[in-house]
Amino acid sequence: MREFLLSIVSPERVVLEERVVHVRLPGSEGYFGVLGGHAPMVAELTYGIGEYRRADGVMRRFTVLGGFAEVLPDRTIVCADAAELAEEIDPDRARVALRHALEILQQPLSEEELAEARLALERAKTRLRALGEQV
Amino acid sequence: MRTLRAMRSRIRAAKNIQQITRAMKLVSAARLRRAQDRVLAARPYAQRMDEIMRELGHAGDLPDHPLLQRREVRHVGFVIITSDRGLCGAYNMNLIRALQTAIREQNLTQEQVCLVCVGKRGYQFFAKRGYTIALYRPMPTAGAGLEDARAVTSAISELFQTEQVDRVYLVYAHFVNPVTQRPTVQQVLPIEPPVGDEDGTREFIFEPPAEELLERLLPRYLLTQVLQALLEASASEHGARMTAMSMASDNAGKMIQELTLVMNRLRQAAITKEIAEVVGGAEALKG
Repeated sequence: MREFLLSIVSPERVVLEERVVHVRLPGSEGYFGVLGGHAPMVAELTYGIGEYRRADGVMRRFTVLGGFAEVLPDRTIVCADAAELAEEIDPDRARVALRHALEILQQPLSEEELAEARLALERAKTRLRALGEQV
Repeated sequence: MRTLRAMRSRIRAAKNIQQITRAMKLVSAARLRRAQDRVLAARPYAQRMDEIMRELGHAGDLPDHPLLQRREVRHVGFVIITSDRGLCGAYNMNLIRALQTAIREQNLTQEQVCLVCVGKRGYQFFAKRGYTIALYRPMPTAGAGLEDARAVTSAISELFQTEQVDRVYLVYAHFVNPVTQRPTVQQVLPIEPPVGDEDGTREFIFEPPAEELLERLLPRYLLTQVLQALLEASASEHGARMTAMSMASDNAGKMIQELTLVMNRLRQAAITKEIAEVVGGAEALKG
């Protein structure tokens, strides 16, 4: 298996920079997997859970909340609007956010507020799913 | 005539000023730390975005997109990012001068220039001189954020796409370190993918198809550049202010010392004179 560099950055910080052998990303047209030596590609990302595997077999999950990815034979760059590793997620906070979003969605909302609330709901759900919870 | 009383009041004034400048220095230092953390944390993202665009430059012909359109340059837009408040040394003047130099170098008349001003200082300077100002936003004290970047980005995209301007530059202070800010003039529209060091084109897979992808990627790239410039400017401003205030405090200290020296000499002279008079008087009575 060929190793390549996986770099995940969000506007706030560098989330991850590591040599990996495989990564799976939530593309806007569906999930896709990347191995070393992949053909050059630029893809839009949506909300979802990514997963990567290192040469030593360690696998880790992370969330991606929209953004772009560029795949090159020797590296994959993820510029996410927001991203975090599964172990960085605070489950209690995500659960509160989920409840809060559901409450807001019960109320009459303007179109803008509705879109905002739906995004918040999606974010919370994505985070909880990354922790392996059913939502 | 320098009297003792006048000297005392001057020393008092210098001390008051020193108190103010010292307080401002401390405030700026705290703000600088926050702004610096933000700009340094945001840089990797901006650099990676640049890298994606640079690689795309190898993808050969990109489909047409309004933000990529190159036209003959008749009107030029500048986004000038200054501070709202003064007391930050030559910070604002350096930026204003950088913009004026850019205008001169490109042989532009005032009618060909359209400005977007973030920060009151730059706005006041150019408004007074009759430049067209398409948008003015104050520079938030807590540091510029995504909101400001969005407003600026939508303003310049609009100006560019309606062909009111044919090219857009950002003028801001790049944050090098707390005491060094580099005034920077950077073209942002039309978007020209940064030139890569290797040549040759590569076949790229686009997902979704190139046209749709660019529709999302290019505005995001532009927003990232504007946001980065704003963050750099915030950190630079606080750095400049901290340096200026630190120097002002030092100068006030020096002034207080000198004035105290002069005052003591004056006092000494007065005492000596009085003693001489008393002694002189006593001598006269003796005689």
